[in-house]
Amino acid sequence: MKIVRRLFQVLVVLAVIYLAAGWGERSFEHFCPFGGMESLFALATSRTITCAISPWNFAVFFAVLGLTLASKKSFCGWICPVGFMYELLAKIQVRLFRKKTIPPVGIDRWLRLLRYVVLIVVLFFTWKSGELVFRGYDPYYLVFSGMGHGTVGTLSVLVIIILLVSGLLIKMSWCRYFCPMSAVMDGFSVPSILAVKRDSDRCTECRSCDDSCEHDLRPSQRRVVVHRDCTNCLNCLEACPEAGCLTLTLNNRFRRIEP
Amino acid sequence: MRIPKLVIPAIIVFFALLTIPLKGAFNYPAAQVTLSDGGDVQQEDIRELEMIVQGVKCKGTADYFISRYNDQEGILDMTAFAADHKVVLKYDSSKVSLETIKRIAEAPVTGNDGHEYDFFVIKNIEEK
Repeated sequence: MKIVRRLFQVLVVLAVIYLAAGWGERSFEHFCPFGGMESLFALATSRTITCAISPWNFAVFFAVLGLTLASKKSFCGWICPVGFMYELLAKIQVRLFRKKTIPPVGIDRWLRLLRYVVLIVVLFFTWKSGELVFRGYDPYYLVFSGMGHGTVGTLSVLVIIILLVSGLLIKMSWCRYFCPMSAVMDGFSVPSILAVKRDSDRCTECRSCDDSCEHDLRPSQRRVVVHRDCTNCLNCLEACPEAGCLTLTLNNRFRRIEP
Repeated sequence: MRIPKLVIPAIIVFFALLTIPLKGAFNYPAAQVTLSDGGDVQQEDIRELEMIVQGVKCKGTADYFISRYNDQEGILDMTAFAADHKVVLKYDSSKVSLETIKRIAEAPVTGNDGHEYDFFVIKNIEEK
């Protein structure tokens, strides 16, 4: 399954590069779900839609919300090119430092709330300007446009350097702490239909699943992985040495959002 | 109930394909203008035209494209869809010819640097 997931991620990155190079009919920006979110907000508050937006943004935005309701944040783990980039940075981190750097659990839980602050700030300035203000600070746009039109000069360069370095120092830092799209998806991820369930009778507490989790959600300490950041990447299922201990199941239990 | 792992990629493909019909629901006109109510036009002279124009790609370019016809007599109604680069135009064939419409559409645009550019290019034109 890991190969299938990597195949999805590589195909999406290749498609985005193809569009970013100008070989396609559409701009790569037209497939950013957060562009759809920002534009819906701008449309509701300022009655304007910017030039960078197409109906694809809205379609992708609503499809991503639907996918999140069905299968948690699968978009992040299977499709998002930025998520893929940060997974690769995490691998480089392990090569460089011989270990994964993760903030202590208590701090990590609270830092994850930072993305709501980012979301509120972005929406505030979108409302004020009616423009896609996030473009100049969005790693998706900055990387694939090659710091193109819409960036904010030195500040954009500084932001992308900080974000990439943070990805080398803290595993999946963008996705965990800063991604505003992730904040939007949170409310749809918790009641999602599919979730990973752990059979505690079969679990030997070897913690292989914990080591394999891209977002350090500690599946070994949960009965059902209902955490809003689970991407259903299924790494934990593949890492588990006990047959039938971790399974993909229907999640019909409502849980509160964990910080 | 145990769910096969392959369900996840299948769901992702389903939602990826779902974007195609969803996109149609958001295919709003980028610019729309009625230049004449057509009250004094003979019904048999009214023609409708659909053009695919390279260059009509956002609200700004759609507004600009439509504004090129502001002073042209005989143009009744225009709608531009940036997503499809499509322009739908209703005109009075006794006052304006198809050739004139094409000429206005493809007239060069003067850039900020003073140079002229062929910004709008008609890729397809179809009379309805």
